[in-house]
Amino acid sequence: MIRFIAARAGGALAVLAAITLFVAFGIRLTGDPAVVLFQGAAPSTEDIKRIQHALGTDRPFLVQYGAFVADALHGDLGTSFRSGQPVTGMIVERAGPTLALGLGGMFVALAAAFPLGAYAATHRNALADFLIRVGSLLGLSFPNFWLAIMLILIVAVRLRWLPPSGYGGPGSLVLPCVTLGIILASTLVRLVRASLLDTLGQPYMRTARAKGLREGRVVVRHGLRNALLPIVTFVGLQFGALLGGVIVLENVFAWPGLGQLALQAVTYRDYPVVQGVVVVLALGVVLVNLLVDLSYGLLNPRVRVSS
Amino acid sequence: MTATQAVSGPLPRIRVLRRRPIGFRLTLIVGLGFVALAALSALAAPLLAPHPPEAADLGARLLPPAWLRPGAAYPLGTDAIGRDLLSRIIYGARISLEVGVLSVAASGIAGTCLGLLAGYYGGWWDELAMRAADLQLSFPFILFAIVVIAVLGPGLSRIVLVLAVTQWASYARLVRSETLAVRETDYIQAARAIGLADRRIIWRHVLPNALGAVSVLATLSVANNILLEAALTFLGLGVDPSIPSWGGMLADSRNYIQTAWWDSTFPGLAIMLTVMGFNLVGDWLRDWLTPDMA
Amino acid sequence: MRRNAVLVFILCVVLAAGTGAVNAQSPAGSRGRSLVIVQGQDPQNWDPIATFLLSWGMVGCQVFDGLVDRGTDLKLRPGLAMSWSTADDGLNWVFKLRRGVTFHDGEPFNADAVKFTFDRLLGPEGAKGPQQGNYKSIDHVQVVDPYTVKMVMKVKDPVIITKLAGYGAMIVPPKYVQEHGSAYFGANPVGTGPFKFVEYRKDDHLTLAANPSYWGGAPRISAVTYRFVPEAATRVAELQAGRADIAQGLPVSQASVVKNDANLTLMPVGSPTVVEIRFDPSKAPAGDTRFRKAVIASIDVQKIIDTILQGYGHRVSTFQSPLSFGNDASLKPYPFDPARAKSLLAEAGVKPGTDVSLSFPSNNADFREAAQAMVSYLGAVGLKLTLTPVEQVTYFSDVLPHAKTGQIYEFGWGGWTLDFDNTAYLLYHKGEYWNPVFSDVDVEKYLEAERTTNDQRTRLKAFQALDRRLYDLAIEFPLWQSVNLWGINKRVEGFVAPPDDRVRLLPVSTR
Repeated sequence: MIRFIAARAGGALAVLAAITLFVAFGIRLTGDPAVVLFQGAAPSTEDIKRIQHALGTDRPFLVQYGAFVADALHGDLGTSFRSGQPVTGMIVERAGPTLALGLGGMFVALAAAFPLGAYAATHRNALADFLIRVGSLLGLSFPNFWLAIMLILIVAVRLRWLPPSGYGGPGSLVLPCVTLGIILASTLVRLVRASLLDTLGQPYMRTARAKGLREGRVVVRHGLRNALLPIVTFVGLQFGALLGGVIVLENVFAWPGLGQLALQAVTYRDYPVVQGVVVVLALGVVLVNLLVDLSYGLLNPRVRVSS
Repeated sequence: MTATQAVSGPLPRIRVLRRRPIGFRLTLIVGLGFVALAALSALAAPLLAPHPPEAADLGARLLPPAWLRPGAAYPLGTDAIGRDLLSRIIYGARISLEVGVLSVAASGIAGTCLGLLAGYYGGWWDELAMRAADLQLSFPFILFAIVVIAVLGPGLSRIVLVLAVTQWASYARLVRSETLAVRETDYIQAARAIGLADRRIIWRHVLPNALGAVSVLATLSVANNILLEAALTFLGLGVDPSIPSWGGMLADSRNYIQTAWWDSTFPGLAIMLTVMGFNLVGDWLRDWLTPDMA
Repeated sequence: MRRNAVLVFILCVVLAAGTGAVNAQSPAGSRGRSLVIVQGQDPQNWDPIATFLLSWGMVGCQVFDGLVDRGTDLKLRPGLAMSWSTADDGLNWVFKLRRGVTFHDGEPFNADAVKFTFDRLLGPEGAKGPQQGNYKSIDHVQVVDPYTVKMVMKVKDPVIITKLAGYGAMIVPPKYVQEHGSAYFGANPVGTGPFKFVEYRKDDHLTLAANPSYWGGAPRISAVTYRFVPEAATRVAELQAGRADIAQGLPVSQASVVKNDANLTLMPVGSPTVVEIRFDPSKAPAGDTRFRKAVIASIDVQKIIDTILQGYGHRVSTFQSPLSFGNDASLKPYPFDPARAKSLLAEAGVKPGTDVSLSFPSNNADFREAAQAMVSYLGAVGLKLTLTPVEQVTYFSDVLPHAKTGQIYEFGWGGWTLDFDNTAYLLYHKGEYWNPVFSDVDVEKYLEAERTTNDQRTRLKAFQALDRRLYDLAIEFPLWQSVNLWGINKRVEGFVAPPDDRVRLLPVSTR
């Protein structure tokens, strides 16, 4: 186990090194932050040189990257070009709202997907199954921004039950989480149904039934547990994608999270913030994937992670 | 599945519940119907569309559908530039299907191959493929899209590229987890024991087992990629807005939701039906690929 | 699994409630004398020398004052300086300062504060920000007595007084800035303005409270919260739900939603921004004047303004606002004439079906629609127009300055000094950032003539000759002067929509 974790830590470091190098290089191809600061005003060549020097972007790329890595190893992700604030603090500030949105959305999705998916699987090909599958598709059938705007118009503007946007108080959490939850649930319902169907047909399920266990107990105890493998993979995948994927929702709901920070940093070519967000994101993904891999061993004893 | 039969003989069929499978056939009929409708629109757009999709009449902006405004020449109304909505939806099928299908084909094939190798051989292969997957998964999609589009310029092929490159990892991880589960089963062990070549085992026994999950993910992804194209337009990274794509139409109509409902409703409906079609076909495919349960 | 999920969910709700400052998320009626403004952008740094963004001015103009003030009528009037004069035609300026003014932190405003502000702006601290470039004509500021300063110029600057009302010249508190440093100041601004800074959460909200001892009188509202809402559809929803009083930056497509709401008023205001299509003469066939004139004749701009812009735009014939110094009102737009366009194309030997590419920044919703109408217009005279929307930063930082556009491209310009000088040289002098390709001997001559004098009559004559030359060359296709749309809740009284986004809340009250 220790060797396994050590190997994974080595892999994670390689991933981090590769991704920061790639991001730092890639973002520098897309535009000059010195120019962006002028936003439609009229920079002279001299103005741009002056800002480039102040930001340090006139240095060779490898020097800039080396300085970033050296600072990052000391826990310092640099200073934002745009706000002049330390990047680490900016990320910490945004992690709360994004975690709240991500976990809330995932909770809504899981709470809806497990009962619906299990019901559909056990009533396979019945009308209810068909309706659940078609119904779950609705959340997948519209772009997230459109779903978000529709929910805002109906729930916040027409009915006035909740605030349309913003971050503050539990009420503001509902619309963004439900939007995200609907989108995630559409996939999850189908995945739960599919995995459950797979396991329900397995010999050990017949054994369980043959032992005289009640059908409900068979499904929950044996079926669901074994169906968890692909579901856990999906949830793991989603947590990585989630952090990047909430960008649009955070934009529509004016949510001060990591997604907006990343989008704005990219928009303004705020290199240190872009690099910082990506490092944190990559760390998160690597960690979640490690947990997913470890859980394989727990959920399916036949898989040996170290083999 | 063939793998099961080859090694351990056909399993006795079991029924989960004794219900008539209404859904099984309904799924295929409805699903194929929607997909066929979209494909037909894409292929025969010039024959079906009543107007050229780019022809604008600024005097006829945002006209409601014909049944609300008798005598009008536009069956589903017009958009904000005064173009026929029906014609644009019919032509839009081309771009949307192209984006959806091409990107899924590219990412699906690449991801499946890597996932099979990683899961079956383990070791270095696994480590390398999974770290590459981590790399891709921790790279924010939007950032990647901006970098690619900024460096290569905007365009449909770039959107397909962005979608393909940012999605292969999902296939790889899924196929790998399926492969890991299958690798340890008795029939694969048996196949190895009798000395079958790895290539043959992967091709004949492991891949078919993973295909069920892949087909589900692929059909979902076709749908999802049609929507991602819309999100890219929403964020200002889309293609030429005069070329109709459903996602682009939906993104551009968001400011008219309250004043001209048809402008966003009909492209939305087109996306919805097509997405549903692909998913229902995927479901059916999945059931068909696992006959021991039917 | 489920039990854990419930725990996690409860945890994150608590987290959200604990860390999220509860801002003015209450319906209109219960907000009393405080206002909520929704704006699209958070400039992230409130230091006056750090930004050019109009969204800074929405907030900055409540917190800071300049020596000179420019109100919503765009007229200059005394700010922290009571009067100013020059004895030598603009080489030295003397400012008499207002007495008895204090900064929000209690520091007195005096000549030292003015000197500190300009030393900072022109020194190494200012070099890190974009504003410094605007004030390069100033050499230094001298303290004459506690309430008199002398500004020594390097060169004469015909628009220096206007510039002193700009962001970079806002007066900052010396002791506060020195004690806390620029980074802290950028997140916790202190000035002399009618409102004091209270709190700020990035990309979320910023709150100001009334400064009852403001030198211009106490504000009538008690507090104002700015909320940063990037999506326009959401800003309109906030207005409709009664949770915002003022919304900035509405697209024309949302105008009727606001207009039809009984609780809201739509306020259009002409902005200094003009929008045009420029030609890149290095890309065939745009080098041919006949082709350029054909494109101009083939598009019915007035019709686009009347329909797509719903009348919220004013036709222009030169690339400056009618308010701008240097505008030649005698030039009329080229008429819409598709027949003439066709014959011009035939003369120039441009074959039917020729591809023309139009590049534009993708975030401009209104131009995006206009561009799609142009596809149809150019199609009618036999040109095949393809549209290339480019992400805006890539557009302004790479595509435009490196001439990577199509034969034609969109260009918008907000000459905030309302003097053509600020615009003309940067746009038409060959080799400038915004003009990588175009050059013309006559144009260079007029530009030189204008820049070397301070005499307004000579300058005007040079500008008008320049206008005429550019008009004849048809190197650009001026379209319209933009109109900005504001949405206001009817409980707000005394709000005047500012043309330059510099909102003034001092006279505003609530019903």
